[in-house]
Amino acid sequence: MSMRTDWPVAALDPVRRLRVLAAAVPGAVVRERLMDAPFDAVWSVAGDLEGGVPRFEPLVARARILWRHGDRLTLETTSPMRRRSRFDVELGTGWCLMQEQGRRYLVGMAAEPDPDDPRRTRFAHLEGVPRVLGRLAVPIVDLAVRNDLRGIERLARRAAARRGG
Amino acid sequence: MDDLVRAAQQGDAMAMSMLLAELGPQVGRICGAIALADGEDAAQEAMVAVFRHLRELREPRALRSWVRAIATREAVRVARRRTAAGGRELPEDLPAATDVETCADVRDLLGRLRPEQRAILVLRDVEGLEEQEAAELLGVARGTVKSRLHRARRAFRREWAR
Repeated sequence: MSMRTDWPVAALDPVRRLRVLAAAVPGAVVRERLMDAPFDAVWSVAGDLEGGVPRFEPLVARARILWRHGDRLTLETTSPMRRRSRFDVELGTGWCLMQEQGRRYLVGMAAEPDPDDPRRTRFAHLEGVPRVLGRLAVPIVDLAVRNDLRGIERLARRAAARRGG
Repeated sequence: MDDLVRAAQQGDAMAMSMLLAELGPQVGRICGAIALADGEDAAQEAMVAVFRHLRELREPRALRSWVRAIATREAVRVARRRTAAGGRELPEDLPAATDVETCADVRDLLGRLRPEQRAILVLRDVEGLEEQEAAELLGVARGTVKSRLHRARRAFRREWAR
């Protein structure tokens, strides 16, 4: 029997993919926010690892891409206390997953235009300590995630205003 | 693929992400055709179940069939939930030929079937399972699969010929 090609197919958007990872990784926290800025403005902030991340992530004073091949890269971050960390990164439009080498910390960001209003963006942010005692850090990580979401939206609105003006 | 599964089982989130991308099309086909409008919800719930239980998979080579079973079960469960929550009553039998002839597309036709009937069609005609395999996965008798499939295919054949 020949196959028709128009069987309905379900696709997992980036926000749903991040929810799956959050459910799979112990100690991971994911929060979502409907941001009052268009997708391009939001991702110009969140997806700019060197220029954007240090502006909304208090624990990152500096970020530098050490290596890049396609959607894979290695990022080195420096904290305000000058602690350096290296992350393996998967970066695409609307998708960023960063795992610290040694799996000490995990960061994820996912974004897509709000289907009901393209001037807004659905954004999900994950952070976590995927270690045996990682769950103990959840309340602190949760605060950090909420803070980052507010920071990203604030910067994205500014970026959108600049583009509009 | 085996290395990817083992890395994901050990908690490597980068490997999990790659595995998500690998399994996405298969889970999307099954959940889309069985859960229809709730396909994305079903696909998400299926993937959550897959990754929460990934460590229980002893043989990485069995991944595809293991994922198929989970996706089918989750898709049927999500589709039933909608029916139970007040979706329209579905007929016990497949639609009459005249109904099928006026059917606009596959999604419309599938929407006239029960989730369990959609599951049989998907397992046989999309996933390529034998009747016995489909029966075991769904927990029904082989004869049930055979009779439902015969009627569903007859309906589909009319649609395909249009």
